[in-house]
Amino acid sequence: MLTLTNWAKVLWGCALALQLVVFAIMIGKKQYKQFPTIFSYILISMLQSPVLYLVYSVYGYGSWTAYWSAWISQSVVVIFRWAAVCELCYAILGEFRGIWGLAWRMLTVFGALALLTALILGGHDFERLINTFDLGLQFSIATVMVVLFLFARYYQVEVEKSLRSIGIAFCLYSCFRTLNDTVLQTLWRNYAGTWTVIDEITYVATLGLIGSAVYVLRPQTDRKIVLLPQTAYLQFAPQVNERLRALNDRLGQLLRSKETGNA
Amino acid sequence: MNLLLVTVGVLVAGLLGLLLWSTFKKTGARRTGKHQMESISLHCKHVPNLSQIRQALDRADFEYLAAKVNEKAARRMHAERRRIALKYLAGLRGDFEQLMDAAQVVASLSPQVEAKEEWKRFRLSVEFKVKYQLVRAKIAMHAPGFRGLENLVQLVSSLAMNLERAVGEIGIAAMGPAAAVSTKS
Repeated sequence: MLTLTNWAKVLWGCALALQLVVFAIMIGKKQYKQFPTIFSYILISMLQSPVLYLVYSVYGYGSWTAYWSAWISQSVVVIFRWAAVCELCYAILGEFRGIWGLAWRMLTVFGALALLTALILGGHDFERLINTFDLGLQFSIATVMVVLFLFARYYQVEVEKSLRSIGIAFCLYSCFRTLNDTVLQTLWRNYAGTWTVIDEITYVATLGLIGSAVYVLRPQTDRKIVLLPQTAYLQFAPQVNERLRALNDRLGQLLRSKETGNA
Repeated sequence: MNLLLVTVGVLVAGLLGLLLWSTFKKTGARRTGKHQMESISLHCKHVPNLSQIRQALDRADFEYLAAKVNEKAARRMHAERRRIALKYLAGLRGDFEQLMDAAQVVASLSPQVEAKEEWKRFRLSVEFKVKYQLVRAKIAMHAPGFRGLENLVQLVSSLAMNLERAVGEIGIAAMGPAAAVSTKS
């Protein structure tokens, strides 16, 4: 029978302590008003730990009750993490109404594609099915965060440092969890103990990053975006594209011509 | 090692690489609102040098000089012409990127954007970058004549002029409410 290692217990304690710190900072700075979903995510994650600890203590770490309790509570936490990621995306790009309309569609498509890819690649037997879903959701979160940052970079939108740190924290955690889940899919029960320890280490690091980010986070009222009249874009965008096309044609001609080859 | 592990490993490594690249601060990263409009510069720095470049890359001049000097000096001139052309091409690329930046600012500050236009611009800018590298490689191997470069210069500068006019118009529109906000605070 599997036993919860002392390492895992120590890390669990650290994670709980950090969750309490993040929770306290968010309450102290009234950030639950600005980021209610991220706040709820921290709260739900914090509640998960004592519930699971109780179940593990009563039924044992390797029992089916522990297995289902862990995965069901985890699915709730992952749903809240997804919601927190959506809130973060909106906090970064939401004020840019035009590109946000494009971004959320793109993020949905990429997120869904990542989820589908992981679901197809993962194991489909009874034991691994839930883990496959977790793998898919984590991969999907990581993909969405990366696409969001790429989008912000492409449009040169300045991402507030704290929000960027929270985004990086979510993305890194999801990346490592994806890898961890994949190894778990392969080695299964032989890896379960190590999986917990690695997951807790990455989670503690993630909480540390989120904690430092919420600590220095400024209220968003500092930022004022002044949008342009819609006519500006309508006359501007087609003109730029037409010129770019002509420029590419000329470059193509230059490539094909003998002129560049002659001295 | 199984297929799942390798595939996911590669995908996650790719994601981490992209995360690193996308969060790395781009030089001249953007501010917000009216400051974005104020910071747009559409001045094509390389257009004023056009006549000197024309002189440096003039084929008749080169042929005349090549006939007058020895082989070693002609080779040196040839290398010099190539160096000038490459530098000029790099400058043009800088101007082009500046113009693309302006287009991105306008898109990001618009209340509504057309997915079709945005996709088209993205595709065209990627195409430009690829073709630019190919032209660069071609010039690096052979010194160019001037006509090809002149065409590019004209295109970039005319694009700048059109955009400058549009940015001027929308800048005025944007400065109105922005100025009102800044005077209140």
